[in-house]
Amino acid sequence: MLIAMRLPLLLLYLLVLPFSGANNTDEAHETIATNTNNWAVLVSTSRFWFNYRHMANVLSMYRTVKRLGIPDSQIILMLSDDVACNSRNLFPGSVFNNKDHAIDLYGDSVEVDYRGYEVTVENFIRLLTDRWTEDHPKSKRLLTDENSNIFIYMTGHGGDDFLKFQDAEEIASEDIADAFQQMYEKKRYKEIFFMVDTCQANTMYSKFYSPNILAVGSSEMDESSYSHHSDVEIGVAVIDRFTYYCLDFLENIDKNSTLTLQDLFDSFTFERIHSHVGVRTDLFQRDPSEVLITDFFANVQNVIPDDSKPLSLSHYHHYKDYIGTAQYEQNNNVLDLALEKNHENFSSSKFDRLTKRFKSTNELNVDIGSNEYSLAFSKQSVTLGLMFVVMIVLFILSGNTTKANYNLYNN
Amino acid sequence: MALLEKLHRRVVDMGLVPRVIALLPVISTLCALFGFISIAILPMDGQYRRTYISENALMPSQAYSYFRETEWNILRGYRSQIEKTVNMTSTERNNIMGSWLQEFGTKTAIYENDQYGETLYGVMHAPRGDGTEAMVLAIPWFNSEKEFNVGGASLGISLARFFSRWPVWSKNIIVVFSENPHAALRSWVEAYHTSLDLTGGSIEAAVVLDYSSAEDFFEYVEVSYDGLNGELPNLDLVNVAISIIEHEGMKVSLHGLPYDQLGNNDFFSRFKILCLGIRDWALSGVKNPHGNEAFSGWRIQSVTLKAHGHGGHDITTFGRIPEAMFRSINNLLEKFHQSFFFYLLLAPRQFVSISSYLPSAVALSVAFAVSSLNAFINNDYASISLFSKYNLIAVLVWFISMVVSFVISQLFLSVLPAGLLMTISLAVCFLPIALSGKVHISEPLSYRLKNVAFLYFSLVSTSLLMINFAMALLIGTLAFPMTFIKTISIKASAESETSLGSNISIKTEPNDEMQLNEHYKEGISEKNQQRQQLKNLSLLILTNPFISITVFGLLFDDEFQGFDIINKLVSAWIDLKCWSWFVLCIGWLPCWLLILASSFESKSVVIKSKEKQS
Repeated sequence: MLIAMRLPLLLLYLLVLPFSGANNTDEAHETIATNTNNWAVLVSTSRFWFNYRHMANVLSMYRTVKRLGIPDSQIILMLSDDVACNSRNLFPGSVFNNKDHAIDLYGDSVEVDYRGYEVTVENFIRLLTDRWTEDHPKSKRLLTDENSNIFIYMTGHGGDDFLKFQDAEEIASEDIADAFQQMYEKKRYKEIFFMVDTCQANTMYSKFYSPNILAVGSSEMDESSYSHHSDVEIGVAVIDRFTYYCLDFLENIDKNSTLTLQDLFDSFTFERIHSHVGVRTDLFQRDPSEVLITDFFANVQNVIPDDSKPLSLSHYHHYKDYIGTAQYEQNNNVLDLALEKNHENFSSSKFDRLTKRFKSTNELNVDIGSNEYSLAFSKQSVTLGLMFVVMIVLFILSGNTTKANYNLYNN
Repeated sequence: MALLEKLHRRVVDMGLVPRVIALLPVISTLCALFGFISIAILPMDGQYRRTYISENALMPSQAYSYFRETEWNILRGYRSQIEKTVNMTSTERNNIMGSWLQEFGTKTAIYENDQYGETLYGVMHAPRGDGTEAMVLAIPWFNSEKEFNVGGASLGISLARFFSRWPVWSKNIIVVFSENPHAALRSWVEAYHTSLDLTGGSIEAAVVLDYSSAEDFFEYVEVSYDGLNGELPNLDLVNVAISIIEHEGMKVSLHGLPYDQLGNNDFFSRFKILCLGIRDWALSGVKNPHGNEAFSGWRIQSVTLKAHGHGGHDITTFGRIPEAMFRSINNLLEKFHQSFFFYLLLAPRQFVSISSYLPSAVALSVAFAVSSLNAFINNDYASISLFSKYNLIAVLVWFISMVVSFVISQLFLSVLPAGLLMTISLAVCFLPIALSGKVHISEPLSYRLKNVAFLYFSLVSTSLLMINFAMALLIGTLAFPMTFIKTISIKASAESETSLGSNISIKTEPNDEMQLNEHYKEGISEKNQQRQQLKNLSLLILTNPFISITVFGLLFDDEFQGFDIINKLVSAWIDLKCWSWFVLCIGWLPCWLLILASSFESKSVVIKSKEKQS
């Protein structure tokens, strides 16, 4: 009975299905297509001179993502920034991540978005979820959308399920997980690559539950992350092991690299890192071996073609005939078209002019909206007509069946 | 509550209370023994901990030390000049040194003190720092052994020159050249915090250099860290010094340990350093100060580095210790606070914290409290009312003894010689024997005097043990034999004896206890009494604060000869504001005077049953 009742609807759906094909292909296209913009959020949660290495870690990452093409406007850099100009720094205005002093991380323009005491848990959460007062400057916001890939890097002093912010407060792993969920709900990202270098780092991503997040941490629970080496001139440890070997790998990457995140993960061995690096892939849709390094560390220039209404040559010709002017073919500039129409209208009679103007505005709109509007319109109207007929037929049919059933019951 | 009641009933049934009361002297001795044992087990494995740098910011030896050969030449040059200044007046010497300091832009000033001489100091402002904090490099012209500190002075000036060329300082550096490491340096530190015009912010830490030989090579480094009045520098600073010294390949000596014992690390070596540490801590300021004591009391953490021996390491290695220490202290963002302020080192890298060693001093002070209780209840006069004349007299005597002690302490600050004090002390000890048969006190008074004396001593030692553990332990140990002094009661007349008997019969104590008492009392013969009197005499001599501390100094410390420990105690107060003298005079002496008074022959007193029962 019920099936019989639903039958018309099912049929209707089957009937409509071929016509809504354009929509479906659109969705299919999105899952294959990569992101359209890349963002990086780089956070050093430490403060003080003896945490030099955390500043160097994050500035190294900053340098890398910038080198691979993410513009400063799409990098949010949070660091206490009290190292480069610290009076204890033997090289004022410079930060190095290696005792060979080959790269001055602070040398060229470094755009710190949140510095000093601005690096707080609150600001970090607000940044991710984009909950700001309206006068918050755009340059300090994470202006991502559903097509954004975000690389989030955090370093500092952490523990089981928390990361210290500037020796004053902590962020819990749940806080970040909830912030990510809000981001997901607000369509603020397409994919997130979360990297954290701190003691017991793997606990930090353990609470994530939102989709499309790939996470990597430097050390498992109850395990410390270690610094790589000290600079005897500066007198401090200058970089952490995990970040050091990350950079060791990333330095060989250029924008055209075909290496994947799996390659990066494979490069982490206990012998090098001195702790167990953890990778969390269960929330992530893709296999890390299919994810290019450049999907997160570089700025891709992918454009999604607007192919929701496929454009074929025949349609174009059809439209050309319809318009019937060579001018349009040469120059389909909206302004030119408007001028042309205006000229045409001016020459005709007043009534004609009025009706024509009305018409032409319609046409003009059509021109602006789509060069195949009329075709689609005709196709859709035919479809609708057919649907209507089928519906009537089905209604009659179903009426009959119900009547028959009624009779059956009566009997 | 039922449980408590049951327990109480059980205790009463078993007759524990009188037994415990009878055992009070034993308990007191056991408490003291527990104190000594708990100190003695500290050097055993598992009782102590390895030292560690608690403050993350310090990072000792992370920066390479650059005070090396090139600086050696400069140092030699300065030294050859300084060697010529030995016989100059301090003004001339300070002028030369001041002109050198000014050559590389140090602001200098001379602090003049009429009593202790001139002190030259220079302030190097941190070029990029905020200038609110400072580190001090102090070099006494003459060290604690009165030797000309030629190596130290040349190290001081060449290090100052070296420091002035580094751009990394976040704290100002102050170089101080004082006449000596005690009063002169101390007066400068006081003036720095009160009257000086040229200052460089609050002093975080101070390093005193003592390199008295003119040789280029030395063998090992001694680190002195004991501050005045029980203050110690933060363990982090000591650890930084020790870790840097060992990092540079030298051996560290603590408390004057000779070179051949430096490698040892077994129970006895640790026990030795522990005991030496307690001695030096207790007598800090009284012993020849090394220089770090001068900074005590202004929240300045300070250590003295002293070079010993000949051959081995060159003088620039010694210079690298203050260099690396300053680099390390320079990294500090807060005052020293992270590590322990109260600790005992057992080896350069092993320590026990206050929680481990404090119980011993507590046990000692409990021992005195138990003795006080014993003197109160463990005799026939326990039931005398609190406001009886005996108690009031005892308190009055205590008050008088306090006044006498205070007067004595003040008198000796200015006029009286130590010899006289010792003679008087010794003579006074003989008073009970000399006056036996002539002067009597009543027996209950004797007990009450003891009661007050030990109670007071227990209070003093309890209040002292937190701030100056070593002093509390030292005087507690030295004074403990006082508790063995017994009341001499001469035979009362027959009537009183019978009345005593009747007295006992109305006592509520069990029979066996009573009989024991009686038996004991009867057993005391004239001979025994004399023996007891001699014993009391020797105990009195032994526990006299001045005699006792002098004997202790002579036996356990090479620095003291004759009675000069008394003079040093007095001058420690005058020059350094070290309280040890007053601890002896006002903490210990009144107690001893009361015990002295109680050890006069005493007559037993018939307690009226009415008074007893009340």
